[in-house]
Parts: sequence; C-alpha cells; structure tokens
Amino acid sequence: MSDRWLRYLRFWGPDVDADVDDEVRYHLDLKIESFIAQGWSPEAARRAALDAFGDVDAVRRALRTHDRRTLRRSRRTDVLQDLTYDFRYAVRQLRAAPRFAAAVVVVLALGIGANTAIFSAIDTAFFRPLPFQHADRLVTLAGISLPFEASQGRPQAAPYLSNVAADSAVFEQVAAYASGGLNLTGGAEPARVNIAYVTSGFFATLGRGAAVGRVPSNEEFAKNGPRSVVLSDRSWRRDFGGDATALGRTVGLNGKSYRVVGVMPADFRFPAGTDVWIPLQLPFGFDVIEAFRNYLPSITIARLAPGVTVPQAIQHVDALRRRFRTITADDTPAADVVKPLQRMLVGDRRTALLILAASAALLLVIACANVTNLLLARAAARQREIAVRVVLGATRVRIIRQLTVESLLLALASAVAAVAVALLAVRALATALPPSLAGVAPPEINGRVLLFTLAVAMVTSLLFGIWPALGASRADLGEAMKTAGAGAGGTRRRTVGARGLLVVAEVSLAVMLLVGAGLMMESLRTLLGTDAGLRADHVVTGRLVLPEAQFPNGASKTAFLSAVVARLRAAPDVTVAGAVSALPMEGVGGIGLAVAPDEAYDEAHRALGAYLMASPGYFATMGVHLRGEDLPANADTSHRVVVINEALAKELWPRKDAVGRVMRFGSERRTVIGVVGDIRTRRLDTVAVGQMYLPMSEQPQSYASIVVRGSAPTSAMLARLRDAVRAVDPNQPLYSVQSMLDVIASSVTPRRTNTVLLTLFGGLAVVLAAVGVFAVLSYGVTQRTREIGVRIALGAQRADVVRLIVHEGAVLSAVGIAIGLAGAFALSRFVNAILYEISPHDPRVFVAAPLVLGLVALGATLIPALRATRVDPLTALREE
Amino acid sequence: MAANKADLLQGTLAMLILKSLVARDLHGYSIARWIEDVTKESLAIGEGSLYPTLRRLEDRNFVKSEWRLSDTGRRVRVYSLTRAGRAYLKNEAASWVEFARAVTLVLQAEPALV
Repeated sequence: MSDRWLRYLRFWGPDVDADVDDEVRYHLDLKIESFIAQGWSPEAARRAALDAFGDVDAVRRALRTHDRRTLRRSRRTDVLQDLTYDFRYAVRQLRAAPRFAAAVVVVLALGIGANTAIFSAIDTAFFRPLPFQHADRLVTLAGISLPFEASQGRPQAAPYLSNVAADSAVFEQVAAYASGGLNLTGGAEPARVNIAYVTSGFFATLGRGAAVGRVPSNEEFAKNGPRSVVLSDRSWRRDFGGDATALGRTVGLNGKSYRVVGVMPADFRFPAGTDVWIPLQLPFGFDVIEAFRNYLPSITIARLAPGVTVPQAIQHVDALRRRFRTITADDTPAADVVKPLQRMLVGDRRTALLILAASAALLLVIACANVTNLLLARAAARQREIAVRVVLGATRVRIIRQLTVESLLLALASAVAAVAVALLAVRALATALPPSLAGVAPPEINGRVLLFTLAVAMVTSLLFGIWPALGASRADLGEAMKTAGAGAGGTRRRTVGARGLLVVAEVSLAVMLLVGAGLMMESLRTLLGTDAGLRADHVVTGRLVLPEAQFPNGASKTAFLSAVVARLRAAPDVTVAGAVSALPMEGVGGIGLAVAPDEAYDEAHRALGAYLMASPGYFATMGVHLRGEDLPANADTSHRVVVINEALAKELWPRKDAVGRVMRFGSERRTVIGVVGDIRTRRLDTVAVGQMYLPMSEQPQSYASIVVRGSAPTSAMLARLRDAVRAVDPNQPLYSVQSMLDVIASSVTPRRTNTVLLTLFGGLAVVLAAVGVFAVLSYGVTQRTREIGVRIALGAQRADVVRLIVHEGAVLSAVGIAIGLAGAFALSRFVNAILYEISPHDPRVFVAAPLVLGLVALGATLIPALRATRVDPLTALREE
Repeated sequence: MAANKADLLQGTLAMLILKSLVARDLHGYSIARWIEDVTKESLAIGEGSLYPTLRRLEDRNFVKSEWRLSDTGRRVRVYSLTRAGRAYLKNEAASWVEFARAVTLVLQAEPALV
C-alpha cells in the first residue's frame, strides 16, 4: 500500500497544504484520544490538546511556507538531475557502441565542417563588419575624380572629391585612395612594396588611427607639404624589424625621400596588401603616376552621415554627376554610383559564394540522411533495450527525450570535430573570396561562426534524430520482448521502406552535387584549355620598375631594358627574350584608345584599341603568330609604326589585309607593320579585344615585364632571369618572378577554389550515398538471412541470391539517380553565372555524373550481395 | 524554575528529537510523548514547535521523513534518523555532557551559592 502512495506522490508531486493539515490533525487527534482515554470529556480534551500544541495556525503557516519552498527547489533539481541522467546514459550508450558513434561523428563532422568553413567565408563577405569604425556606413562612390595638376584651368570633367565632401549633410567623411607599387629603400633591403596614395580624409573616414606614432597631419596632406608615410604592421616588421626607431626615419620610395611618422595596427590592411600609405597632395602631379600605370586608379570611399540611406546618397551623387555630364560620358548606372564598401569588395564573387553555401547545405542533408539511416538501424537493434525501459516505467516522452539527448550529444561532438575541419579549411577558403576583401578581412572562425556551427548541429540533431526517436518510442512492446531476431515481415518491410527512401534521397542529392561539380570541372578544363593566344610553356617572367629618379628619361630606361634582354639572349639555353609594358593575364589591358583607318577616319569606322608597349622579340617569346614585321628596337620618329592584333585588324579593315595600312588616332598616324594573334590580356575568361603594340623604345614606361623563352627547366630559367637583371644593376628589385604558366594559373585561382570545393563536396556526397546504399542493403541482408537461407536450401544458386540483393540496390540507386538528374537539370541554371563557355545542361556532365554514381552504388551493392551468398542455410534456419 | 526549564528545552529540542529517533522511526506525536516521558515534563513551549524544528533538521539532512499508513489506515508522516543525524547527535551529546559537567563543577565549588 505504502508503495502505491509513494508512486502516487512521485507522479503528481506532493500536495503541500494537505500534507501539513494531515500531519497536524493526526497529532491533535492522538492527543485528544489520549485525554479522552484519561476520562476527559471530548470537548475538554479537544481544548487541552489545542492548548498543549500551542498556536496551531502559526505552526501550520510556517510549515506550509517551508514545504512549498522545499518543493520548488527539489523540482528544479529534478529536471537537472533527469537531464544529467539522460546525458550520462547517452554517453554510456555511445561508449558501448564506439564504431557507431565514430561513424556518425565522422559523417556529421564533414557535413557540418563544410558548412562552418563556407559560413566563415559567407560571414566575411556579408555579415562580419569590416574592421573599421561604423563600417555599416562606409560606401564607395563611382565616377568621382581628383584634381590633376596638368588639367588645372581646364573645364572640370567630373565631380571632384571636394564637391562630394561639400555635401556634409549626406557624407560625414570622404576620401580617396589608389593602390600601386614603388621601390622602397632605407629598410632592411631594397624591396618592391605595395603603396596606397590616400587623401587627407582617409584615416578619419575609416575611423582608424596609427598603432605607433601618428597618421599624417593636415600639413603633410597639403600641396608641397613635408613628405611623410605610414607603414603597415607587416612592412614595419618585415622591412624594419619591428624596431621603434623606424619612426622618424627617412625612407626612399622610387628615390624620393619620406619620413616615417606612424605604423598602423596589424588588423588594418586597407586597401588589401598595402605596405605603405602615402599622403596624396592635391592637385596631384605626374610624379604620383609613377606608382601606377599611366593613370591614377583612385577609388572614392565615404562614410554616410548617421541615418542617411544608400538610395539617398545615390540621389545626391547622381545630381552631382549630372552637373558635369555635358563634358564627359560616365556610363556607370545610377544604382551603382554608391555601394556599400563591403559589397564593392565582395564584387562578383557573391553568386559563387552562395552556390558554395547551397552545396554545403546539400552535403549536410546527405550526411543527415546517412546518420538517420544509421540511427534507424541502431533503433531496430535497440528495440529490446527500449522495451525493457518502457516496462520499467519510462514514459514515451522520456524515451524520446533520452534518444534526443543521444542525438544532440552526437551532434555536439560532431560540431567540435567540424570546427577542427573548418580551421584546417579556413586558410584555403580565403582564396574563395576576392583578394580585395580577403586581404582586408581574412575569413576567420569567430564567435558568430561558432554560434552558427552550434545552431547547425542542434538543427541537424533534430533532423536526423527525431524520426528514429519517434519510431523507437512507438516500439511494440510485446513484439520486441518476444523476439530478438527477424521480427514479423510487416515491420521489416516498413523500416526497409523508410530506409530505402532515405537512400533514394541521398543518391539523388549526390547526383545533383556531382553534376554541379562536374559542370565546374568542365568549366575549368575548358578555361585552362582555352587558347590564350600564346604558348606559355618554357616562358618565365619577372617585373621591373624603373624609378624616375634613377631613370629620368626614356633613353636610360630603354638602355637598361635592352641591356637585360641582350644579356638574356646571350645565354646559351635562352631561345628568345623581350619586354612588355604589361603581361597577359595581369588584369591590365592597357589604356583604350579610339582608333580608325586613316582612309576612313570617322565614327562609323572607329574601334577601341588597348595599347601596350613591347620590345622586339616579345611576340616570339610568347609564341604568338606574327604576320609582317616585328616592332623595331629603336623607334624612328619620322616613321611611326604599330603592330595590332587580329581582332583590331578585323574591326578596322574587315575585308582587307591590315599590314601596310595606316591607322590613325587623334592626329597621330601609324603604319601597321605587323598583325599578331589575339592574346587574352585581361583575364583568361575574358575574350581578347583590340590591341595595339607600340615600340617600347618610343615611350618607355617605368613598368616593364621581362619575358624569356628557353629550353632549360623553369627553376634554371628563373635564376637566369634574376642573374641578368642583377648583372646589369644589382639594386633593381625584380619581382613577381614566375613562370608564365603560373601567371595564367593564378588568374583563375578563384574559379579553381570554387571547383575544388564543389568537387570535394560532390566526392563526399558520392561516398556518403554509397555508404547509405551499402548500409541499407547490409541491413536488409541481415534481416533476410532466414529468407535467403530458405532460398538456398530450396536450391537457389549464388547468382540468384546476388541478383536478389543487387536488384534491390539497383532499384534504389536508379530511382535516386533519376530524381537527382531531374533536380540537377532544374537547378543547374542557377550555376550558369559561374560557368565558363559550357551549357548548364552539358550532356557530358549529365551522362558522366549518373554513371559515376551508378558504378559506385553498384560497388556498394555487391559487398552485401556477396555476403548474402555466404549465408549457410542450416545456421540461418537454426537461428530462428 | 519552569521558565528556565523551558529555555533549556528550547535550546536542546533538536537534540532531544534526534535522540528520540535513535532506536526507531517515529511520527511527530510519538516524538512529543517520548520527550515528555524522558524529561517527565510536557514541552512547555507547546508541542507544535516540534514540527518547525523537525523541518529544520530535515533541511540539514539529519532526519528524513516519509508517508506511511497507520494501523488505522491514516496517512502518517514518519521521521527517521539519517547517518548524518546520528553522527551529529553523537558529537553534540559528547560536548553537551562535557559542558554540563563543567557547569556542575563550577556550581558545586566553594563557596557555595547563597
């Protein structure tokens, strides 16, 4: 009886008030009885009892208060205790099944890890504020220019920075910067450094100051003011040994001296890769251009005033632009005039990132399906254990909670492993981001990324855990207790059906991912196979800068370059060498000029030609076909010549041979002495446009790249190139020394990263799908051991048994592949934006992907099928 | 004299309760009866004060209680001594005896009280 009370109490929780009343009343009743037994009248006995007790109400009140408080406390600890118990139980269960736990954790860690890693890139691109003050209010402005000394007094062609700054209601701070490169002396070694010319509002706009020293003063930004620079943390450590005495030191940049006034904090890297910030004194002069190529590539940034929206800012800037539009045609669409800085830095990588994120999510779904399958198999094996717990009084809710805690534990363990996976991947992921962003804010595993991982793990645990948990809690007691083995046909079919469904889903998702990966691989292959118009093998390159201070005129530059090229050509293993103003694939197409045939110099015949300077031998080194003559080594000012490419030739003289004809731009006339093949100068995936090559000796630039073709191995050729430059002038830094193949490869780095990641995801998906097929069929074989045994006993051959199992696997795989192909066909148009010259429905990919998956699935099917043939009918039948 | 006795009992009620539970589990009324038998006096402060004291002892984990059914079928809350309560009692009793002996010695010392 008392047991019943105890159970009753535990179930509903004690009724505090009734308990107190019962206890007090029992005491009083006994007391009254004892008085009555002594001969007192009931009434007197009652009074005496109350007297002896004291203040009944006060005692009752005190006890009730006390008991209520105790009850509340114990309820709280009960919940905690239950959870702790569930947790411990889960740990015990998982430790008892280490292979199962390890399989789940590995599968999930890959799935979650992929998502964590991609999210760290997504976070950098979209969520994490840039490391600047009020980063959310930072924007870039298009079409704003800076006053140039040489154009002073001429009509203003575009709004100046100062015009924008005047609009202080909209723009709190405005600044411009331009990234270039100069030769640094006065540091540990002469070095080529990345510089950024910045206008006076630059540091204030970003809201960052120097870590050591100070940022340049207003005086130093003023025209003809004292020349100063600020170092990056990286340059300070690398070029000045992190020495505090670097402050105040005088350094040389292309021969001009500057005083170091400050060092920026380590996390300030804007614009990306900057080593030295130089105040830009306005209006700027020709001397500034030396750090760039022919023009000042300035980018305008601004911090919006609080509460000002981007559309509002667009209105203002657009109105400003319109005031100058009569003079120049600015074709930037109005919507792009003002852009959040972060969006500008992400640029066109947005789509690719989102596709990667979606792919990672798909991979996780496949991983979940796999784990669900594992859990279902385990749930079947645990039916007995769960049934026993139900008999011992565990409620259904309790069982579900228990299993959910187990799933959660698995997911959390996986999340920890996932973060480790992501930490390994995060460096590689920086290349999935544009360098302009990755250089400013490299992707990192931060609090938000960890939170994301945790959230994904929780959701995942529900995703893969809830179905098996619900199923297990529904377990038929009698059935489970009765038999440890095969179970009735009905239940088996149901579970295999559910598991089969999961496998179909896995296979179909894997097909989709594989198609995506295949499309990317085909794109990359097509791209790398693209004829860039040159033969890159056996060519090495290096860049040189010839500072104005050392090479004040064209003759001195030409002399230097000629000396280097001549020295190289003299080397025994060098076939040919030359120089050019900008290498192909460097992203610099040259300045576009409007040109036309001399005989028809009008709008209709005008074409755009990007002009580059080249030395004789350049075309031969690059292996470009040249029709006509090569450029002369020494320019003849009386007879100006040019070599143009096929594209420009076709535009200018569509039906005639261009060689020997005269081309005109402005007042300048040039005879076309040769026509060369088209070289993709900007990027590998950008079709070549009209190009014209002028003799380098005519207008030697401060920038030049040396190119060498030779038979020796690349490393020997690179050394040859370095030696040649050093022999002519040991103080000239030669940089970006690499093979032409590397130059081309690095121009497709982002695409390669995307492809590698998608291929990785696709490969993982295939493996997971195969494991899924294998698992469900193996389970099926185990469940059907008896049936198989009977079949064999009745004379079925090995082949029959294999056919039986393979048939099941083939049906699952085929259905999955069919659904996957349909899905891929529907979805692939979304990846179209990042494909290169192949159709999103490329037939090769749509044949290869299912083929690969089909073969892998077949392999996964055969293992359990062969195992089935080894079933011993006697043992199988005896087991029942 | 009665008042002094009451003080004494109040201070040592907890000890008396613990002592009452050494041999067997008891409900509140029986504890009161046992104390009355041993001290030959009823609890001057009222039997009701037993219960808050019992709760305090329960909080300190010196006693525990559970509901049982009496012979007459009524719900009865029965208290029992825990291991911790037993240890505490042993400890306290020893020092109490020590203290009582010291006080007795002082009171019996010469010159005698008036």
